[in-house]
Amino acid sequence: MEFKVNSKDLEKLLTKIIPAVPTRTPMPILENFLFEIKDGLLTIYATDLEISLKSSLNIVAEENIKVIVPAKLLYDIVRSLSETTIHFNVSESGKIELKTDFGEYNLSYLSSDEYPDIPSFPNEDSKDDLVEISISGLELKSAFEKCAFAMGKEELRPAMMGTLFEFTEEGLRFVATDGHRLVNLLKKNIQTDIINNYIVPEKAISVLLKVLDEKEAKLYLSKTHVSFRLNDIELITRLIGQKYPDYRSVIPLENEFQMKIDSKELHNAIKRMMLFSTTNTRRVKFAITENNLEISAEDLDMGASGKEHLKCEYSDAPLEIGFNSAYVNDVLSHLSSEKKIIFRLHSPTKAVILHPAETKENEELLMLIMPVRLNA
Amino acid sequence: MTSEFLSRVPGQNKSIEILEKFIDSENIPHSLLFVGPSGIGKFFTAVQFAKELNCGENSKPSIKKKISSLEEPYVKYVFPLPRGKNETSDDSPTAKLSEDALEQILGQLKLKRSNPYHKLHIDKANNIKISSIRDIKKFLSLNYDDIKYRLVVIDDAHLMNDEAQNALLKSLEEPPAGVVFILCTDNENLLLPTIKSRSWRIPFSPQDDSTLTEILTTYFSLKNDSAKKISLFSDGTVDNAVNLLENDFDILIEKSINILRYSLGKRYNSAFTEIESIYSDNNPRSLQLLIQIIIKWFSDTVRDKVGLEKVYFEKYSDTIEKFNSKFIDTDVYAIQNRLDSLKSLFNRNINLNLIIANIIFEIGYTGIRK
Repeated sequence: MEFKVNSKDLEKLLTKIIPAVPTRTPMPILENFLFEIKDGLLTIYATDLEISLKSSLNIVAEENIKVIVPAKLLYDIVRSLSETTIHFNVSESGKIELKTDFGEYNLSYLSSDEYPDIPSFPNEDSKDDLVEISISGLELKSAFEKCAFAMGKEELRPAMMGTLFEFTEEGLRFVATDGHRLVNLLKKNIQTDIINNYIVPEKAISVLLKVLDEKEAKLYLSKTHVSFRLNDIELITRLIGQKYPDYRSVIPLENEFQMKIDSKELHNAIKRMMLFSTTNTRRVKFAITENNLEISAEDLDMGASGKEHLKCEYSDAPLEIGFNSAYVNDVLSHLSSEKKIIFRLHSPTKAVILHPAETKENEELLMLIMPVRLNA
Repeated sequence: MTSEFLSRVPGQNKSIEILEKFIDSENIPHSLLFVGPSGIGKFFTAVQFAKELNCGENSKPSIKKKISSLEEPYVKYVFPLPRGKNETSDDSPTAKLSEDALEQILGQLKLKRSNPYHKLHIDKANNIKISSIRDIKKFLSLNYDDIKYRLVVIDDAHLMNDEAQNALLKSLEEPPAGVVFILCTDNENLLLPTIKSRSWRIPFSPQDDSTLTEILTTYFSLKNDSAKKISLFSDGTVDNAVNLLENDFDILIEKSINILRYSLGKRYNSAFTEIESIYSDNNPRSLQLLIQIIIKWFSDTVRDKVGLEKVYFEKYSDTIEKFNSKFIDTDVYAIQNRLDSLKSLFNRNINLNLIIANIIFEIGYTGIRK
């Protein structure tokens, strides 16, 4: 059978879904795209068994087929073509011929039987517990941008290797933590009538960050999967099937000391202090006195040290507290859009809360860092 | 209940019976330890067990196929892998492997899928990497409530080093619902006691000759006659049989007889040349097989002496009778023991020429002592 497609359209589509194609996998079947042509709609799938991406294109075709084609080879060919029309000719003998103005290229295809099943939503099996909601792509993107860095990378606590989506009456809350820092973002304008928790794995979040745009995203949430249907691409991922740790219990309530500081100034100072902190502990010391913050770091092995004074608004008892400078840097770089931020502290060994000084109407953002001991 | 899939495993009735009882009671232990020599069907049993658990009457036929082809999420197959260049424990198990190594692994896996008795031969695959264990943990963390049973099959589980074994402990003890670990090993002494105590031990025994013949004809497309002949010398394991096959079984038998003849007849030089012709490709494996065959020949002499029928060397009964008439009082068991201990020396990097000389003189000594 034959069909034709514009090379740039195809390239755009393949570029979006190729992130799901694994390399060097013990399952070589996954290094392929699944091409499905059904009633004039070409849908291309890719999966690494954890996330699946699919995207569709309207074409003119008379037959319906399903074949799998080598992903990398096809992508590389299509990418190297300038704008032209590609005529696909799928023959019975297991070959696909690509004909363009430049020449002809032959690929082998395989039968689609061995390709893993990719769930699609809504479907019959999960009809009962399927939840459907719509979120603006930009809202979702900004939430992921703020949360993604804090997700855990250790398999020891698998639940933390994802971002928690907590649907509450107040709105949708995103939580990510690795045990050292935590991001808790409540989007009040995302209102749904469900109350439930889902943990979306890190891989899905990082792929979504690249493909989300201003268009509306439709989410289908089942017990085991979540599907993000964007404008022209759909990402389906398995959820993490573990219980998310009780993050509320680590957020201190009695942090009564407040320090208000310019986020940009502090961030720049921290970047400089990172140069001086010892490579393994990366410790930086915050000595807070009235309206003055002294941050310092030293690397005893190298005999180097640094110290800076910053203006801040602080009127409580003096306090000395240590942090891992890399964590402070991470947190601050995700608060860079805020002018002033507030540190809420209690003692040198208690978790510290950071939040923007200005509260926004639609979102509540709270970040938390665990301090490090100064004289240990 | 007669099981549909487990009953297709040749032999191993006792082990199968235990597994069937688990299924009947609908109470499957989290972790099973399959113990027994390599090449007797532990892996095949694990695969069939996976099918038995997942392929009920209402399940899709595709599941069966997926399990046979060792596809996740039904089966997670973990096996020893080589280490790639500059590989750190943060890399995925196959990320840093060379193209050649990867190709070999894929080829071996393909063979394993089509023949469950195939033994994976991957160069420099000396241990199960800790990154493979991490992979398992990731696999376990995802939500697979839509799948009844997921099996994690760890082949050659004793090749996990202590760190890898320790990393596995927590998952082994409390895996998510529906996950069953199957650890296959032929050397359980290398497993930590903590792993063993968390697993239900299921012993597998070497196959009897007729079952082994059946396996060899079905899975290695041998003719019945030659399968039968090889089974006799294989001590009940497919691995031994395959080894004999790869080392030209028929020639090996003939040469063993020659070597025996020369050594006993004090023609040591000829014996030496004969042995050298066997291991010309520097493969100590064939020497090990040779010793094994010679030991079997001596057992036949004992049978002959007490008037039992010869098992192994029916065809060469004249040599046996001649030996028995010439060396009446020989302590055959002593020779067998000494030959057996020679066999174990191969693992210790002993000079092969020394071993060859020892084989010849051990046999020749019998002739002098009488």
